[in-house]
Amino acid sequence: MANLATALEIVAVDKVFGTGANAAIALNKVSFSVHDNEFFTLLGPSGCGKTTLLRIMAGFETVTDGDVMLYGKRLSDLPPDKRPINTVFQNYALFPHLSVAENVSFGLQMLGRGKAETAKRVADMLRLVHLEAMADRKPSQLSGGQQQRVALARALAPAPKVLLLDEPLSALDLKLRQHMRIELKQIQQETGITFIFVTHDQEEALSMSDRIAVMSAGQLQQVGSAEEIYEAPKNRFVADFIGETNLFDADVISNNGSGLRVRIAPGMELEADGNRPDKRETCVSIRPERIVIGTDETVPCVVDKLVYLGTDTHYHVRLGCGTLVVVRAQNDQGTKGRFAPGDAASISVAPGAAKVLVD
Amino acid sequence: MSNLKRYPGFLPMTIFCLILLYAPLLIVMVYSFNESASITRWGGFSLVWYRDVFFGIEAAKYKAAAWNSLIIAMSAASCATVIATCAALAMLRGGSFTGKSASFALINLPLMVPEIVTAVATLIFFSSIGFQRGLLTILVAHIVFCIPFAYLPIAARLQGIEAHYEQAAMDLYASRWRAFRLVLMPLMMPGIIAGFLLAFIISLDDFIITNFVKGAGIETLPTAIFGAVKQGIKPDIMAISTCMLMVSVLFVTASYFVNRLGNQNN
Ligand SMILES: Nc1ncnc2c1ncn2[C@@H]1O[C@H](COP(=O)(O)OP(=O)(O)OP(=O)(O)O)[C@@H](O)[C@H]1O
Ligand SMILES: [Mg+2]
Repeated sequence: MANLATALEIVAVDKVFGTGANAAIALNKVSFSVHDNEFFTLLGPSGCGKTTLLRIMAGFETVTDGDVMLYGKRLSDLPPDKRPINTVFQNYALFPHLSVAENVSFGLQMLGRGKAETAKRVADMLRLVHLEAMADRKPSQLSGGQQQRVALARALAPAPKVLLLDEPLSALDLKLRQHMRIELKQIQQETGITFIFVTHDQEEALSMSDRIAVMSAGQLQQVGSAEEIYEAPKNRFVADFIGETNLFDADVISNNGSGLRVRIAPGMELEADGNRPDKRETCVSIRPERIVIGTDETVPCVVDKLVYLGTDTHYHVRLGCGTLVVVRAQNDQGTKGRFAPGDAASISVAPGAAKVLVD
Repeated sequence: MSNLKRYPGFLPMTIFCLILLYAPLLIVMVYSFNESASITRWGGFSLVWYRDVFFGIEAAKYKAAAWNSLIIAMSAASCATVIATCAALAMLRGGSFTGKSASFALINLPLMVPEIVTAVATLIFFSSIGFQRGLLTILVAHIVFCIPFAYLPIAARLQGIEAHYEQAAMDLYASRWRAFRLVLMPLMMPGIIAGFLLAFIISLDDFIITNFVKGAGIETLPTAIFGAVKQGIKPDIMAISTCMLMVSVLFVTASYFVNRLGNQNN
């Protein structure tokens, strides 16, 4: 588990590409810190600035404003080859003219490590990624998954302080991806190196990370553990991007200090966690799996549509006022087969399920 | 493509073109082995003209010309390749700089300028700065017109190499120079070799510019052949031409295999 010393700190980083009329803001006042020994994930939709931020950390891109600190030392003026940071590139960028072993030893040779030390380290790294038998092959003779492991071994070999990974699993098929998630996490724990992992896949982020930074359009939205991000999203974007949710524009009825009593639809009032002083209206999020579908007539509704998902079914139900609500129920709970489109039903929300959001 | 063969007149047309292209070459090659001194009548197979070229009374002259050609082609191709490699790196990896499109035009302009214009201009240039004409003037002129020929395959190759490779090298603690030496240059090598070979052949073959800028008494193979032909076509010219043709074929074949090897590696 991560201890709380700060390894890498991003301080109010701005990045603008181009000038004048062509200027595009890729990063806007992004600040966060990554703890020592942490598996930290940058998560966000395509084009939100993840790669740009990673390239700034690695030194391939300069900041327009702000700073990057590594263990309290400014990195901004150091060229890439002077930073104790290594990268696993999105397309791996293995050197095609060198063998697997030569690829893995490249960084050690550049650092001037001895022959014996280098050979031992290369052997260790290849064992770590299960490629001992492939040492003499050229990258073009490997499968995509194997190339991905070589890229990982090559970046880990010099024992960097921080390892950057730019969507390293995106080119692999689903089964291999799921397998590599577990393996990457294991390697991070074994080596004790701080990982900064970039992905646009929220499932990947939730399943691997100690903490996640959610980004959108060049701005940081929220930083927190997988549970925090999922259970207590700060705003509409995070709630919507991570998993699935029902968003309601609710009226605030009363404020009891720790939460609000809100009306999310006519006749449907409930307590929501969070606070928004002086607001008459607010956005409220309720996850589909925290709503129960039944027939006890608490909040009457009509089943609109069923979406079968294997382990679960999504029930799209319509409230009396016309609001559509998605309910998720496991297929072994006795709900299976009880409802068909057009049936009358009712829903109830689990206590603590409703969250107040900042828009 | 296979349908092409069905067009009426395809076969005669093809044969006609092939004859036009290769018959003169074939005649030169065949008659270089002619026993008789006639250039039209076949007198049986013999290597007499080759013996004449290599050991006859004019052998010394041809040998000197051949050495000049080789030395100039070697040096000019080497210099042009180095310059073209630097130019390609600046154009394709140097980011954006003022005068980039102008530089691109300047590098490739020699391909468009009529050779005779370049020849006259070069001659005037050397005279005006008082440069003694000789081997050195030929070399300088050859380096200049070889640069675009070396540049084209090198730039084409570099264009196909993603910037990620150098970045990965620098990410792994290689300085800019080592990233170039250990990663980028090996990847560029097929293009560099192809550029060198092309420049070599172009230099070996050049007549017009060489004829203008060479000093009195200094000959390269093409100018020596031209000089000899002026006094009447003798079969030993055919023997020399066949030798040169073989050298060219050798180099083109080599560059083909280098390219194929390079493509296999990636
Ligand atoms: N060199 C550049 N010049 C101009 N704009 C750029 C440059 N690099 C990135 N951008 C812009 O910056 C924004 C962020 O790009 P970035 O590559 O960081 O996105 P990303 O989050 O990595 O997306 P993806 O998930 O698709 O890889 C995009 O709008 C992109 O168009
Ligand atoms: Mg990206």
